[in-house]
Amino acid sequence: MSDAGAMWREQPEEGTEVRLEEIVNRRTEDLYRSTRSEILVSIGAALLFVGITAWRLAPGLERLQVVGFGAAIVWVVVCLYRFRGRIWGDAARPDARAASGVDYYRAELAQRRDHLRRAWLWHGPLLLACVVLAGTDSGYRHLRDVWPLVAVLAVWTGYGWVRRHRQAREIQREMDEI
Amino acid sequence: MESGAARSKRDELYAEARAAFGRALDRLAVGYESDPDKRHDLRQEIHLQLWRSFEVFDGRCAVKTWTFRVAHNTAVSYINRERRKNAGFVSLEEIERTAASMDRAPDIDQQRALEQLYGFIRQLKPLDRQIMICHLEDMDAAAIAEITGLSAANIGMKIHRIKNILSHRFLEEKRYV
Repeated sequence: MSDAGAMWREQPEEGTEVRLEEIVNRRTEDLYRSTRSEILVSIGAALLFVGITAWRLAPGLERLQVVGFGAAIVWVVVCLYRFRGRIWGDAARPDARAASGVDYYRAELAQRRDHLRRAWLWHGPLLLACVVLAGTDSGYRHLRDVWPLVAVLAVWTGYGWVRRHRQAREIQREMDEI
Repeated sequence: MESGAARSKRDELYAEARAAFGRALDRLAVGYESDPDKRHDLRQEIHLQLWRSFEVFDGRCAVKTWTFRVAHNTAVSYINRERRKNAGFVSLEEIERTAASMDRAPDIDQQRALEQLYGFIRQLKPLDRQIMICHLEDMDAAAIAEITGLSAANIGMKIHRIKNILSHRFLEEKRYV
């Protein structure tokens, strides 16, 4: 038996090679996918919220609620149009595979940072629907009955806001480094 | 936005580190992850963080020290993320206490001994694991101290324990005993 150090240093080599361009491109695509899923989840949540609320309040839907929920749906449509490139674009676009992967990665980081800083835009429909519900008599009565859930959602929203800003700062730092 | 010169300097440093320590970094990843696919991801993460880190390399320590610090810290973050799925880790001290009572297999082949060594390393707590891997990479106590931030005396004590464990638990060590 040879000694442990020699055995460790002479262990078989890894079969796969690590290539920096590949890593950067993969991270670029990961960022792209995260952004897309966040937009879709947020828009989906807004539609679900508006749909369920409208269904539950259907007989006594107030005028303000109709207008507010209508505005939220319009906002959703605007979001879908505004982010169409992010939602339906191809994550592995040709330039992601190009030699200047680092530049592309930096551009993707910048987009990701801007996306996080402008969370109000893609979270807007959900927020608007919540405000409309809380700001109307029938909606307020309903919310009062489920106040623990409302409290949890409020805390969650606050936490999400802090987390997104922290992520944006980290991305800015990463951009400064590369 | 960084300048072209700074970028090229970083790329040069990364290429230098990769050429000199690429194989050692691969071995380091083996000490932190057993699954080949996940290990490939870990290796990629280590290389990416290393490449990024050279942007702020100021030459206050050797490239080797810097490289291993970044690699170990990246791997530690990785196992901390993975820890939720796995059992907890143990310290060298805990292993040393049980090592004496364990039987050593008289004729284990090289491959099995290597597997045992991997298993042993992967159950260690992060700091002990760093020390163990650096020791197996033939670094002296001073170099390990620089990488880990512990005192050389503390490292010396830990290495003494590692030698004890290795000799008791798996290997007939001419070099260590």
